[in-house]
Amino acid sequence: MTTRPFAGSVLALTALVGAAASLAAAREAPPSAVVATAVIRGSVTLPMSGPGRRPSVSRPGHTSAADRQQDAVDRQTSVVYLENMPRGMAGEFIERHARLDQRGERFVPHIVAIGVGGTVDFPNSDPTFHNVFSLSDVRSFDLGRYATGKSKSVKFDKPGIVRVFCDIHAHMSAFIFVFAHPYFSVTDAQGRFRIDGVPPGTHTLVLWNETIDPETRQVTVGEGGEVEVNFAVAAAPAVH
Amino acid sequence: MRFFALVTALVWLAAPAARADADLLPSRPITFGDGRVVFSGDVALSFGTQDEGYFNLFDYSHDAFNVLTMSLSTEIRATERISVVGRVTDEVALREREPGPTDRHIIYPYALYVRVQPAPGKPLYVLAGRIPPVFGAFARRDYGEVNPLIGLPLAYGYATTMRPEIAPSRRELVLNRGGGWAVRYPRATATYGPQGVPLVSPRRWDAGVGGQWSGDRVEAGVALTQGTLSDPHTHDNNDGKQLSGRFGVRPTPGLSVGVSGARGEFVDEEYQARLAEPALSDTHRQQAFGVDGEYARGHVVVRGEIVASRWDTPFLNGDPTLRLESLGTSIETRLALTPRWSFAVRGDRLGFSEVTTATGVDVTWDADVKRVEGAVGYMLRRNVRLKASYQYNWRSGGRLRQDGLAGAQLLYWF
Repeated sequence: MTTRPFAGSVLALTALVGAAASLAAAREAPPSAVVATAVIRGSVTLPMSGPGRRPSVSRPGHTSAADRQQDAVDRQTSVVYLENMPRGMAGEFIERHARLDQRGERFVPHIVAIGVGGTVDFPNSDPTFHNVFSLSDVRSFDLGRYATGKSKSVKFDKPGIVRVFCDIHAHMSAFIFVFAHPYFSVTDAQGRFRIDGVPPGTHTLVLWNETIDPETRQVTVGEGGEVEVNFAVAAAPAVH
Repeated sequence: MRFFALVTALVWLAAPAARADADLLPSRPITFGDGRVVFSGDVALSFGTQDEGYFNLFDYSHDAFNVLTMSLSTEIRATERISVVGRVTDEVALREREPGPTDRHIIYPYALYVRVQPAPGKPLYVLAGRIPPVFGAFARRDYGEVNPLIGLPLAYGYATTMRPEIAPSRRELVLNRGGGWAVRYPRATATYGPQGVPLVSPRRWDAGVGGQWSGDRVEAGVALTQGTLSDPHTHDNNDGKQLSGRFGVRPTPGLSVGVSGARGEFVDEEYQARLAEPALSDTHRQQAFGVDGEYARGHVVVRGEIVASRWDTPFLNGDPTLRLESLGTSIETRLALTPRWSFAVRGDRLGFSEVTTATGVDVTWDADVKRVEGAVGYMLRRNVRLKASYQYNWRSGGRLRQDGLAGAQLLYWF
């Protein structure tokens, strides 16, 4: 599979911004009649594990082997969401506060998703310093170095994808998804997801994972129904 | 060219990784075999004014301000506790020098060693091969990514007039003051000579065995190697080993302090055999002692390092063996101004002990050097940085006593 550079992020960003535009339109629309909402659930199967770590030739203790000891939270690596805010729906954000821990020289979990206006806490659970920062156009910040037990927070006022790094440890990275609607889900350790409260109709469902291009599916849900969508991603090149 | 081809091939292989990251080049290491083989790379393009005073000499044709450096690192994990780690580096000089050497393009193995973790879960590692140094702080940093400036500290990047070959006489020694870029023996007849060694070589690693422990608050390392800090070797050149070690503590997460020591036979055996007694029976060692510290808080990092070195230096003409000493001190700070912009400055000094010449004059055996360097850094992407630097040097001897250098450096790593 060949893709143009930037394609993945542009597609994902377009979806998030599109959702924001839909939110604005929805707020201007007259109140809709109460309808029974549906559930979209399913699973994501990926052929590979998470990103590797740079070999450190000068620091023997800093090995890529440490990355193999991932816990369950650390395997939450995909996001599934509706591309646009369904018409007539107002945004009720289900996740306005999230936590991105710095543990074992990793961000745990690797991905968090919040609504616009939400806040992410960055506690340091390692015995060493970390320095969380982002160069994202959505929200750039540099929290400086802080020690074990300390935490700093960042508020996100614009929708989009925010890539987060540690200035000290080059191998550390994470993603923060900021949505303008509540129809999103981060997969669990088994790759399962569930989006509740989806209004009836046909929607574009997007799967985002760091190692692949975003995949989209057209999904039609009825009132009070439940639809299962499974993403099985074919083997991709073993590079990160 | 093979190295270029290898790097190009790896970058091409990694291109699919750009999908999520919106990068034209890979931003992550490249892995194969379920993560058992990992490749990463570093490229540093430095371009600046001509270093007429040879203050930043890597070797005669390469200096820190005019060089393209490309490194490819790999870790091959044979088992959960045994790995092979290597790095090959290619340095391309970007400026010609006269007289023109032919080695403007140098590929060399920077590291190649086997790493064994004897006890699972314990941060103890045993290394064998061309291993990372345990002495000091700067040489153990990953250059390019961590160095906030373009130049290296003087103790690591300045060519003194010391050579593993023996000086013909005390007079010849001091005649070379400030000329470490080309040490000529005998001075009267030679028009060109090899460069002198720095106190600690950061570009070549020594070969041998070592052990390192890195706990949460304490780290320690010890190594037995073929060469010395100044003159690392893959093959032993004098039947003498070097023993080096470092002990570091981290009382708080933001503060770390370390002390280092090293002692090893320095003089090449080919030259040593030409000595007469009693110098022939002497040991001719390099001994070094170092202290390093780092303090970080918020957006500021301050690092300091002291390296003291002593070489037992014999003379071919029968002058008594001298203990020639040198002391390098440096302090640097880096301030993150915004997520993208940073500023760094380093103050540096390299001093030398005095010897008495044949005419009874006391003079340092090499010319003292002082340096200040400041740099502004801009992070284009997480793995792409641009630096603009200005460096000014003062020297108490040599053909050029003062010189300012301006340069820029583009760094990319994956």
